[in-house]
Amino acid sequence: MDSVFDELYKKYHHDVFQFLFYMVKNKELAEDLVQEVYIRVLKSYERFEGKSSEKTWLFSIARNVAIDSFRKQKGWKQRIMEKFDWSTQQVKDELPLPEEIAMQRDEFQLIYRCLDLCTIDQRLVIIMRYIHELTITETADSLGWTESKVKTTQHRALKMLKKHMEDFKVKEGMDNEGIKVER
Amino acid sequence: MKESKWSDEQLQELLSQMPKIKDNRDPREINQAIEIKMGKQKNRTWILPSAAAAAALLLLFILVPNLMSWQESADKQVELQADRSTSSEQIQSENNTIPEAKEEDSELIAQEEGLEEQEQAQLSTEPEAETSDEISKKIVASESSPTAVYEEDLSGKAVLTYAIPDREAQNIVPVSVLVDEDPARTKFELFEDTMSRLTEDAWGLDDYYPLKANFTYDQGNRMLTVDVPEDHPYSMSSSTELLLEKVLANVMRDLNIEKINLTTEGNTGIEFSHYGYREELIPENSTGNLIYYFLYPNGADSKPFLVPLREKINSIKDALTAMKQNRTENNLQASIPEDIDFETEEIQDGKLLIRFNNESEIIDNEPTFHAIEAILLTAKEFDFDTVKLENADVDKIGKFDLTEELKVPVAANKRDLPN
Repeated sequence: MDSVFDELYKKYHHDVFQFLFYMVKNKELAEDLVQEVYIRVLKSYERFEGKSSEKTWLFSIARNVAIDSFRKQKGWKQRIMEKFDWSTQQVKDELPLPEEIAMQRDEFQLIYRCLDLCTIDQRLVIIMRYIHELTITETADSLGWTESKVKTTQHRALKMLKKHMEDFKVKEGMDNEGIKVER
Repeated sequence: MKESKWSDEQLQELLSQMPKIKDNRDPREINQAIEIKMGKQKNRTWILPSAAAAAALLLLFILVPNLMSWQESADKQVELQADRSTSSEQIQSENNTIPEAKEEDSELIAQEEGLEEQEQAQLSTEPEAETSDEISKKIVASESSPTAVYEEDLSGKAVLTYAIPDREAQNIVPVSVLVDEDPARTKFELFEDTMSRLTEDAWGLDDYYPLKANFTYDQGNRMLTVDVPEDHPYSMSSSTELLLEKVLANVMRDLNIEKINLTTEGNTGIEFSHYGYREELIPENSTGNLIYYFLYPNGADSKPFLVPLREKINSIKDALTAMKQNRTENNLQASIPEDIDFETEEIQDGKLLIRFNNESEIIDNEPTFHAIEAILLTAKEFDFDTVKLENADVDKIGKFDLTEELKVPVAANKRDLPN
């Protein structure tokens, strides 16, 4: 079992971790979730038939773990909190940027912020296709989708991301006032 | 719409350059955390189901005996209630007898009040033991009269045994009466004729006969038809139904009837309110043996009834030991005094030998006499024909000659009919 862990760790740990991080945007949570991925993998490792590549298999598990974690977050507590505490909605986006992002150019920070505003499916595709640079086939395999669904979703996702980024810029621009208004 | 600041390609380019995020933890640390978690999950996987299984088992333990005895318990509740009321009645009647007994003893008159209080305190804790003491004190001198029917009573007479409930409907007492034999009439006809002559009230039992039903007996098929009127009183409660069933079962046993058909005013079947519709009665094969205890419906100084209880006891030795215990739940009293000890031995087929220990006091008094009758009746249930009693302090107890083998009685509880 340890050897399995070592092997998986060497090959995929950082990929999986990064994927989870961009999905949940919380380092500690990503750390927990990556462990959960290992647990699920180790439990079902014998059942892994090699139909798909190890990599896409891991990504599909990571995706399930991430989605489960969203569901858990959206549990009854969260729903009640939302009802009574309106401030949560404002606080939501104010999570401090992790230093890896904060040190980067504005564009990266902007992308990072706007990822949230896309749907989960769109986010999944963006992260897999462009950040992790999986092929369309690999992505389809990981998500259990057809390739054409991956294509349409990635197209729409890019459009959404772009739109959100522009909106964000406009808002920021208005806040900072005086910086180039195009018209 | 404003123009896009970014083209798709630019955006893809940017995305691919997104900073790499690393997990800075030591892989060993992660491995450990995983192992701990997996261990926990494993634990959880067996803790919950086993807790559930334990709870289920516990439930089963609680429920199954209840379910099994569910029908019995309904009857028992009725009996229990009756029992409670009778035991308090009994205590009262005993309270009445105590002062009388004391008055005879002139020395104790002065202390009577104090003693009575003491007695009462004792009564509340062990009413049964007190009563048997009371009996032995009171009846020592009185003449021992047999309660059962013996062979020598039978000349030209037929024995009819009726199962009569006691007043609390707790016990079925087999009462036997002797009637002149009549060659023109069958035993069943005698049984039916005599039913109306029983004086249950005077005997201290429930006025149960004649049964409110018509009987037709088919001698050839040994089949009895019991026809009740529409407004028969036997389905008033589950206990009246149970009583009727017990009484009829006894009738069947005594008269060697194989099957009883039940009808209502000529139509097949009787609708019981609790047991529902029944067309016939076939006695269940009861297991165990009948063991006789004393019932004193008319107070402690009257002639007792010997009431059989069916117990799952297979040896006469165990049966005789069981007879030393009071049966409070049935309002019955021990039929063998506690301080009498003996050994039993089956000498040969049908012959039982009982040898009393030296410490046992076997003298000619009424309690001892009735105890012997109870022993004989119980021995009969265990298929013994004769009983020999050895090592008694006297040779004769009442009508029993202890130097001889004693024949078991023909039937229990002989009572006389009014002329």
